[in-house]
Amino acid sequence: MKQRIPLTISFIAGIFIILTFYFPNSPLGDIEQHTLVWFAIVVGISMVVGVESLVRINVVKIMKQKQGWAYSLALILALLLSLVTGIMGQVKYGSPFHLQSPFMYVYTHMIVPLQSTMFAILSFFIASAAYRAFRVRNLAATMLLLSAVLVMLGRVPVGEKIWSQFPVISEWIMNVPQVGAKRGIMIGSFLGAAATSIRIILGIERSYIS
Amino acid sequence: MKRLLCLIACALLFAASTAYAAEDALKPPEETAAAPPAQIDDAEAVTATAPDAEAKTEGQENKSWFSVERLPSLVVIAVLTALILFNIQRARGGAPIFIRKIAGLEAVDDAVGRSTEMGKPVLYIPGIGDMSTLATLASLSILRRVADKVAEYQTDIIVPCADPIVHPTAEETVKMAYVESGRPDMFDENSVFYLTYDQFGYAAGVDGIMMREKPGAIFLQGWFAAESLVMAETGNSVGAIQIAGTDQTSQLPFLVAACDYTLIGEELYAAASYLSRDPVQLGTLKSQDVLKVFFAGSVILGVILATPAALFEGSVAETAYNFFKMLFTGAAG
Repeated sequence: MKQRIPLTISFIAGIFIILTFYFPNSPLGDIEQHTLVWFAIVVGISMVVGVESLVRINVVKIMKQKQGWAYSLALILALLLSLVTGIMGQVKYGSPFHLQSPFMYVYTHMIVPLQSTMFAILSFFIASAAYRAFRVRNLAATMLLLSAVLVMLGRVPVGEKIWSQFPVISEWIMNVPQVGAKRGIMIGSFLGAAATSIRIILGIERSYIS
Repeated sequence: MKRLLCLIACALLFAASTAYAAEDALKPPEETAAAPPAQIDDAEAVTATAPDAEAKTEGQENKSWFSVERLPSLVVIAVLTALILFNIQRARGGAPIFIRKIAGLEAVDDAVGRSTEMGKPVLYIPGIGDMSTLATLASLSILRRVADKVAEYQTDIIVPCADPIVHPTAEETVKMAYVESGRPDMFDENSVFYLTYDQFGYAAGVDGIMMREKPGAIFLQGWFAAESLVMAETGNSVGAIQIAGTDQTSQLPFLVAACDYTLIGEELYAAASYLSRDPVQLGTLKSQDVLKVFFAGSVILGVILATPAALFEGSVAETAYNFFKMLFTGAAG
């Protein structure tokens, strides 16, 4: 019984959403829109559970002074700072998202630069990963290196100056072999996704609820 | 007779089960942009309108009862469902099912074993997708198999989650693995936790865990965007054995470059069945193989038909090609 109820719910919900895909107009389509609102509400409530987990784990870490407890302290303080500035913005400006609110100050001057920094770090990681991937060890790696050099030469102005056909070759590599391989993977993924959906709806795959 | 009718009814109902995925697969790649729209994807700008929303608008303009343009996907799904049911029956009847070896999945035991020997935890990263992302569901199924091994070897596991709904699901999954292994006391409720919904905040948090905990094995399974390489390269730098898996074609090159093993697309979805060794589940994998052969044949036939159609405009060859194309796209020309 413990498993049968969630499996039945999964089955009914899965079938219903599928029906709305093939019968997109009223009344099924309208009900689907309502379910999307329910989904947003469930996500909102679950966020509280998530934050509770985050706070509990980090407070325990601070209390027991485990390794790296200072990071947990920074996290809790940042969480409180966001909360306090959000409330202040709501009280003073009627919305925490008002451009003059302290919350937006924190967002613009702290969160956005931190996100940008993390994104920028990616370039260094790409360089180190590319170095490993492009090392000439075998035929496949050599072909990869050759393709990468041709694509790069075709995409920078100096490449065209060296030889006018570099951009043409680069476009061909991107539009023919690259897209072909990508579509092959996509067809495989679609079939995998389809089979997984059927397994879940039929209750064959139930490891996530058992 | 009754069973047969039930089977047909089931086949028709489940036929539609992957209709959204089918619709995506039959569209050109640029229309099938990544699912969660708020994330930054370095390879493809995620600015495309959700395909479902577009389809919805089309559907509402055309007030017909049934969406005819989606018929090809229904046919594909119907065939797949029938094949799956057929292969399940075969598997239950004891027919041998051969599934090729997947190196990344064969290495799961070794990875967990290595962590145990080194006295280090296993880090499982379920990606930044939410519960409506199929890759996340597949990831949670893999998590269950990994957690089974972790519980069996009595080692530690860390599961940081980016989605508040994935978090309790992952927690329950790991907990049940310990319970069913007869070691409920070994489960640490602080081992599965919510980190943040923010893409790069999550990457920073996971990187921090890697640097502090120095895990022996790292699993990156699920839906990833630009943060994949940030995490995979950090994992590589701490010397962990890394097994990655995603269906995001834009992230696969990064994961292949940075990880020891990578599950590519369909392998991610096959992983849970493969690791379970359950004949019924393996039967469903066989159905995918049959359809893959069909699609490969269709591609070859399409090339054969398209070549004369391009050379001789207005000929019978062009008509044949347009008809063939219509079968797959629902629209001629």
